[in-house]
Amino acid sequence: MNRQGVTGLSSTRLIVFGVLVISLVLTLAGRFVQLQVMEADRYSSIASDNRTRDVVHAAMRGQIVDQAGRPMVSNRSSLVITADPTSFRKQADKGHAVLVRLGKLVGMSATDLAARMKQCGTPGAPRPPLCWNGSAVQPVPLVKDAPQDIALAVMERSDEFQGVTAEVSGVRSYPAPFGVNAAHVLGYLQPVSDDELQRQQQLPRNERWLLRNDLIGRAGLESHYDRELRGSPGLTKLIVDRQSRVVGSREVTEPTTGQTLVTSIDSHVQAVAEAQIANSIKISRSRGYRADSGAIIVLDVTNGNVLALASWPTYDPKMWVGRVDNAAYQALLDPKRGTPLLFRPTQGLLPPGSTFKVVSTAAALKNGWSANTRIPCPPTYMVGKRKLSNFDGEAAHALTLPEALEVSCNTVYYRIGHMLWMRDGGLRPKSTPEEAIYHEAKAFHLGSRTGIDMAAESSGRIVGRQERIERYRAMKPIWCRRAKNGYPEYKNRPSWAAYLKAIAAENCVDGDKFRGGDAALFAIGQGETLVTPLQMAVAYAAIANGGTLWEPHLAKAFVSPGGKVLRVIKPVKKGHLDLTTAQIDVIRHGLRLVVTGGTASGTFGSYPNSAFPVAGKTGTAQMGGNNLQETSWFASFAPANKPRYAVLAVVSQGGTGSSSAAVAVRGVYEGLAGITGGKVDATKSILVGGHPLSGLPKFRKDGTAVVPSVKSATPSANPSPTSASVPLFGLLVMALWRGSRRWWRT
Amino acid sequence: MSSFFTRRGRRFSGLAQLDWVLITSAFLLSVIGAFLVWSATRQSFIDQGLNSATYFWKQLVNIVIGVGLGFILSRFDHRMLRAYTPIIYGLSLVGLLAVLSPLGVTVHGAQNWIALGSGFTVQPSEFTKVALVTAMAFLLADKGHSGDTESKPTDKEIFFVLGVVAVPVLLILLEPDLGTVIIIGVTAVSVVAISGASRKWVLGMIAAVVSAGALAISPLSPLKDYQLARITCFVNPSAGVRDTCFQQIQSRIAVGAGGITGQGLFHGQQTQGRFVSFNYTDSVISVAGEELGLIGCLLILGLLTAVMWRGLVIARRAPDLFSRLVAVGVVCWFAFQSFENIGMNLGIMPITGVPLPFMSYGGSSMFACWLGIGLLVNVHGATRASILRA
Repeated sequence: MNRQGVTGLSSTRLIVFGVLVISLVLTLAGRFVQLQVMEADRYSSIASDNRTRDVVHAAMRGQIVDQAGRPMVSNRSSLVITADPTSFRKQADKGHAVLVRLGKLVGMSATDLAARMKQCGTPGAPRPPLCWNGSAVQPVPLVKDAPQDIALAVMERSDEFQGVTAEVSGVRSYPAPFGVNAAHVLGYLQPVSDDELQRQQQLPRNERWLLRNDLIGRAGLESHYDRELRGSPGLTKLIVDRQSRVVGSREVTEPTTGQTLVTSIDSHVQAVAEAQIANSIKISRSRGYRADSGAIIVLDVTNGNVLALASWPTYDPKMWVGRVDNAAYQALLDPKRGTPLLFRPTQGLLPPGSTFKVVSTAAALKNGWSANTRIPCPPTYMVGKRKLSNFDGEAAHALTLPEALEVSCNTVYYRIGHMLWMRDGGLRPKSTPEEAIYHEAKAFHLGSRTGIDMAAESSGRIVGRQERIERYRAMKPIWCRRAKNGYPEYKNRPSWAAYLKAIAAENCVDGDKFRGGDAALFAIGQGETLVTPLQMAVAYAAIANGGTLWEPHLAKAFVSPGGKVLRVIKPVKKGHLDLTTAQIDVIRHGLRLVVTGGTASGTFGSYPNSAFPVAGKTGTAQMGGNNLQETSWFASFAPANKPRYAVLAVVSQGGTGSSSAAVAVRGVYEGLAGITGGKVDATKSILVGGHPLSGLPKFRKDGTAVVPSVKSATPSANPSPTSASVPLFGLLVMALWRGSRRWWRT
Repeated sequence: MSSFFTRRGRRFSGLAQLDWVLITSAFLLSVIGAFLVWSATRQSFIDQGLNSATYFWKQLVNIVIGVGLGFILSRFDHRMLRAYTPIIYGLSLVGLLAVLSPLGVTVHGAQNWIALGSGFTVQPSEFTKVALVTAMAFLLADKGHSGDTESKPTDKEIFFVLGVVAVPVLLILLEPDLGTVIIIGVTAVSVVAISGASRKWVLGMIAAVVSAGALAISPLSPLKDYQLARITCFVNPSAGVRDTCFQQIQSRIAVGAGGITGQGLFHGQQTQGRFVSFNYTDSVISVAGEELGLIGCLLILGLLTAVMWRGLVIARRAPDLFSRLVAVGVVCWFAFQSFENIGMNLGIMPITGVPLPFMSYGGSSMFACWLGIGLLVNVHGATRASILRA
């Protein structure tokens, strides 16, 4: 047909043109293959993210109940006023008029409210936590814990408050049976940090249990058992369109309420302990002591269960609910207020003083001293050129070891410490010095973490020859510089500066040496030794129970929201003292003498000693010399003939052990044993049934515990997690609750 | 006499009196396009409580009208067509002027519509393509009449042709409608080249188009900011995601998410969630990509290729230069507009708002495309006639 048509140059170019057209088509085909075959997965997932929004239904956090089943931490409904940015964007003035009206209602400026709605990191947004760290489609909480009338006003006048609603969210509540505080033990919640969220991204998908708007336990039991208490959030995948309008949903999972944590704490014992430590602080202060802080620990010596852990000063756990204001937070860290955030039982580091003598006694019994060996108790004891004196006790005649404990004779223990040191070679130690007291302290697990189920436990320190050498290597340059330059920062206290300079000079020369004086002071719990009150309590519990060192434990079991026991936590033995029963009996005998005729006998004067006998040891520890007053200790167990409890009290800068700490301990025993008017009446014990529950409290199907009725005055509140607050707002709240626990995850 | 219906009576052997491959392919493209438009718009209509197939039916009406217009055009004696060419050209200029007059309607920053009242609008630049194809063929083939193809067009003639092209191009640039200008430019180069113009003209025009492109993205660019932003978006897709590039990226996501087999008509996530703007007009290929997958897209490419291939065959067999240049012009227009439209949706061409031939929603484009088919059928018929005469 070409014959008739156009030919030549035109036809040649037509062929070139055809080739060009085909190449365009092939280019497109290639691109389709690239996008739809090679990159299909990537684009599929982007499209999927485009199309779906995960709506998270926050799970209710599990309760924390005491050993009898009384809730110590529960949940209550809190009204939160939220604003929906999507609705605001659709309004002509972008919601300004609504914010002005809302501002008038709640007493805030519209500008401040608008600022709270800005997403963190966007231009003009305030700093966290004031800015909004959720997604752009999620309602922003503007007013937390709003009063009911404001919430109702917003709900009723919805035409004036378009896009604003009152929602119910669950927040922690503290039923505080018996007025118990236990702030440190329970811990608190704070918003999840960006770091935590980012770290979570490294984990496999099914282990990413934190959501952007979550709160996370930051201290105490809330932190240690966060995962169990947290539960798992429900999730609905919503299908949305480009305007984020919901067009459908799929994959609905219901939230699971967190597990109930049954603790070994008895809220009544805890409340009594808190009252007693506060009282001892008062006593010490009335005697002119600073009494900056204190602690009481009550352990069950048969299994390491913690019945009470009181710390003074404390704070109101409710302060962490909602937004924490900065001034209140700074107050928690203020040393002038005693640093209330510090949990003394596990974080307070103190020289143990004479309470340490049980360790030295044990070491002596293993190393040649017997129960009947008589040791002189002079007013002073010379170690080389250094004269060390008695503080607590003094006796004209030589004492047996129990008697030395009874009167707390320092010079007896100086001698023991010094002699053991000399046996090791003194300043020129043998290749393997025995360091009997040091190793005995280690055997008692002093100077190391007890392993209690609470975060941030301090370890303390026990310093022996090896530690000295190691520290000398690290510190020598500093000591030598101080020896040369002194302590100019203490120029208004020249004698203190001179003392420090002298020590630095001595340490610069032979700081690696464990001197005789060090050994003598170590034997009476002074020198460089620092322990936590809990370590000491565990040690005394071991003496009480025949030598078993239990790991102190707060958690007893986890119970499902349906009342089923999921996991029982068994007591853990950490170790056993290498002492014969006879040796332990010697120590117990001495501790019993302390209460009946020794340093604590005054405090326990009118106490029914035969019906509920107490054995214990006072301590009056010197605190480093920097113008600090003595720390008052009393470590004990009871009943002395069949020990069940170990109770330890300590008051930092509180004076002598007998005058302050021992009073608190006595108060606790009176409660535990039901002592009134010098008589023991087990039915009046603050423990239901007169002793800690052997098993677990019974749980109903709704997850609440059956709490045995208590005869003592204070009625125990036993609210279920929701029903407690329901009568407040009635059905309105219940209706809101269902629809409100929704948060968008981004 | 040369129209195909009259020839049916003649005893011409075989079925190929009409180019059925061409017509069927164009028709299938149109109908598939109508379904894609339906899918792209049904959610909006459902939301408004209207019939979800509203645009489907409207597009079917557009197809019927388009086929009718093409049929009429194909019946013209192609010599008559030459005679009408100056009139068609003049009418298209009037239309373009009307767009720039107060009659014009601005949509998305470009004034390229005329409102004809009661919500009916036409886009004269679509018809300008038809007019220019015939006008260029008319001018370049004028001196030789049929069969006389060995003489090259003179410089004067080419200058004149360029002048004729330049007038509507300038008017379209004022709208502005960059995409149409590019298509016309490429078509002009192709037609002039195939008219047998000397090599210096061909190379010179290619150089001119390339340097115009370079100028467009240079700092001296006469383009408006939004036009430049679209080009930037093509070069660097992550720039300004929220605004200009959003459409392109969403469209590409839709295509990629379709995979090999697609998510099924009416079931594309991106499409049904309305994440792709203009997915019933400029981005209709994204609906095909997502819901019909690679298979559907290759089918559409195949049908487009069939149309262009038949057009090329018709051009090759054309009895005279005018016919050939008309056919080449139409093929070039279809080919480059398809490439530009699909390419921008796939992120390999700058975003210029041109519709996909036969498939995008809209009457003007549909009518113009079927007029193009009408021209091809017309030329095909002329070829038959000349064979019979021979």
